[in-house]
Amino acid sequence: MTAIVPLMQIVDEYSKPFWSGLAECELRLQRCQSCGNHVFYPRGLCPNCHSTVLEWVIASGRGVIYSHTVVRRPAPIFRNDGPYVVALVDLVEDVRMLMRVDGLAPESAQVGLEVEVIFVEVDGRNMPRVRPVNRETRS
Amino acid sequence: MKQRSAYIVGVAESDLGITPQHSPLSLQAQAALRAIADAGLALSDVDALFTAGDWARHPSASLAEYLGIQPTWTDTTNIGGASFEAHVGHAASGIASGRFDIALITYGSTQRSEGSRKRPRTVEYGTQFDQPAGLPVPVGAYALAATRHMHEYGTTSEQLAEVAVAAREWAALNPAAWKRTPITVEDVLNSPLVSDPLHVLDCCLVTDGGGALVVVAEDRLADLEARVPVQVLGHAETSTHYSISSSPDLLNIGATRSGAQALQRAGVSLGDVDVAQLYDSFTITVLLTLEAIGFCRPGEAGDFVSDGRTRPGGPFPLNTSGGGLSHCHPGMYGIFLMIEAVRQLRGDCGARQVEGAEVALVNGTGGNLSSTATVILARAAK
Repeated sequence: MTAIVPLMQIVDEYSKPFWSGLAECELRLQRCQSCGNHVFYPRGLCPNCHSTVLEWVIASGRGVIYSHTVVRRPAPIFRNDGPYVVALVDLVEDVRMLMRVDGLAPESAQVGLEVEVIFVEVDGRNMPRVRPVNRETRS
Repeated sequence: MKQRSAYIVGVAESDLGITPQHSPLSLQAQAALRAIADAGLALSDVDALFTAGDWARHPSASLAEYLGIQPTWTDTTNIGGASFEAHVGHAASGIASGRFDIALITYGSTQRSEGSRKRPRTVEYGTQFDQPAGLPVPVGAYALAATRHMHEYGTTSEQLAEVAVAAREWAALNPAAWKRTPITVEDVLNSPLVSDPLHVLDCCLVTDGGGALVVVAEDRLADLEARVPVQVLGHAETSTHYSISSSPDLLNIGATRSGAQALQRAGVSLGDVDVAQLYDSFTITVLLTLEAIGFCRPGEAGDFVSDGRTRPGGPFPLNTSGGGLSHCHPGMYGIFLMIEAVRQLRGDCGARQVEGAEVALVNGTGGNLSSTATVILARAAK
C-alpha cells in the first residue's frame, strides 16, 4: 500500500539497527546489559538505569493489547484508508509499542487480546503491525 | 530572608474565535496591552517575558522585539497547554528570588485561520517509531487513555459526555464563549466518533485567540491600584513522558505529583479550594485530573461528574468559562484557565460567578497527558 505522506525516519547509530531489522522481517529491540530491561524506542542510554551498555536482540513478536482505539479520521500517512484499529501493545519483553492492528474488526478490539507482530510493506518499506494470534478472531 | 510573594494584577484575552486579521504576534500584543492596562502599568515596566509557541524560532526575542521591550529574563518553556501554568510558577520563582519585579506572560495562536491543525506534524526522533501505527495525535493518545479507563473502571461514554455538557452550561453564562448553545449527553454521543471512544463533542474546540497575565512582586502592590490582587500561593510542575507509548502509567498523570506539591507549598488542602480550572483538551483529561489531584479516588471520576456536580449551581464549580470544550481553544488553553481563575477570585464573573470564591486551583495538562503544572491562587486580603 502507498502512504500519501511519506514515512520519515531519523537515522542515527541507535535507530538504524531497528529500521534495518524491519527490512529483514525482524523486530529488533535493545536490551540493557546493566539492568536487564529491554528498551524501546532505541536510544543511546537505558531510560531505566541510564547505563550506556546496550545490546540488540530480536523480539519474539508476541504481545497483548493494553489499550486500543478506532481511528475514524485517518492520519495523513493513511489518508485513503477506512477506519482502522490502533493499539498500545505490551510485548512479552515488557516494552510498549504503538501498533496498527490488521485483521481485526473494530468491534472485536479488546484489552488483553493476544497479538503477534507482522510486517507490512508501506511505500516500499516493511513496517511492523500486529494481528490477533487467534485465527478465529482475525477478520 | 523572606522570599517575596507574587501577585497576578493584570489579565486579559485578545480577540477570540476566528481572527484572520491577526497573527500570533498581534494577538499577543493586543492581550499584553489589555493586561498591562488592567494592571495599571506600562509595557516599559516589564522586566521578565514569558511566552510559548511555534510561531518563531526564538519566540521570546521575537516577541520582545515586536513589543519594543528589552527584558532581562525570558522563558519559552513549552509543555503544550500547561506552559502558562508553568510560566506563572517560573515568574513567581524569579520574583521570590529577587531577580525581577514585573513579569508579562502572553499567548497567541491563529491555528484555526491557518488551518495548521490539518497539516502533518514534523517527525521527531521519538515519534518516528509511532508513525507507522497511524495514530492521530493528540486525540488518539487521549482516546487510548479513555479506552483503558473504561476497561479498568467501567467508565461510560455517558460519563465522559457529562464533562462536555457541564462545560457548555458554563459557556452559556460567558459572553466571550465560542459555543454557548446547550447540549445533552445524547448530543455528545450522537456527534461523530473521531477516535473511539471520543466523539467530536468530547474534544476541545479549534479556534484562534490569545491571552496575557501580569505578575508582580508584593512590594509593587502599594504603587498599583489593583482592585483585588491574586496571590500565587503555590505552584509545581512535572513531565512524565512525551509520546503516549512512553507513558509510564497511562491513567496516573503527573498531576498526582504537581497537584500535591502545589497544595503543600501553598499550605492549603483540597477542601479549601472553592473553584477549579482543570485543562479540558478532551473530556477524559478532566476525569484523569480529578483523580490525579485527589478530588476523587482513581476510577471514581465518572461518578464524580455525574448528577450535575460540576455544572453551574452544583457543589463543585469546574471550568467556569466553558473551558477548552466550549469557550475557546487556540491550541494551548492554559492561559485562559489562569485568566478565569483570577476573575473568579476578583468577583468579576457576573452570571457565572462562584459566590465567595477565595481559593482557586488551576491545572494545565499538555502534550499527550505528558506534562502538568498546577497553581494555587488566593484572593488577597486587603
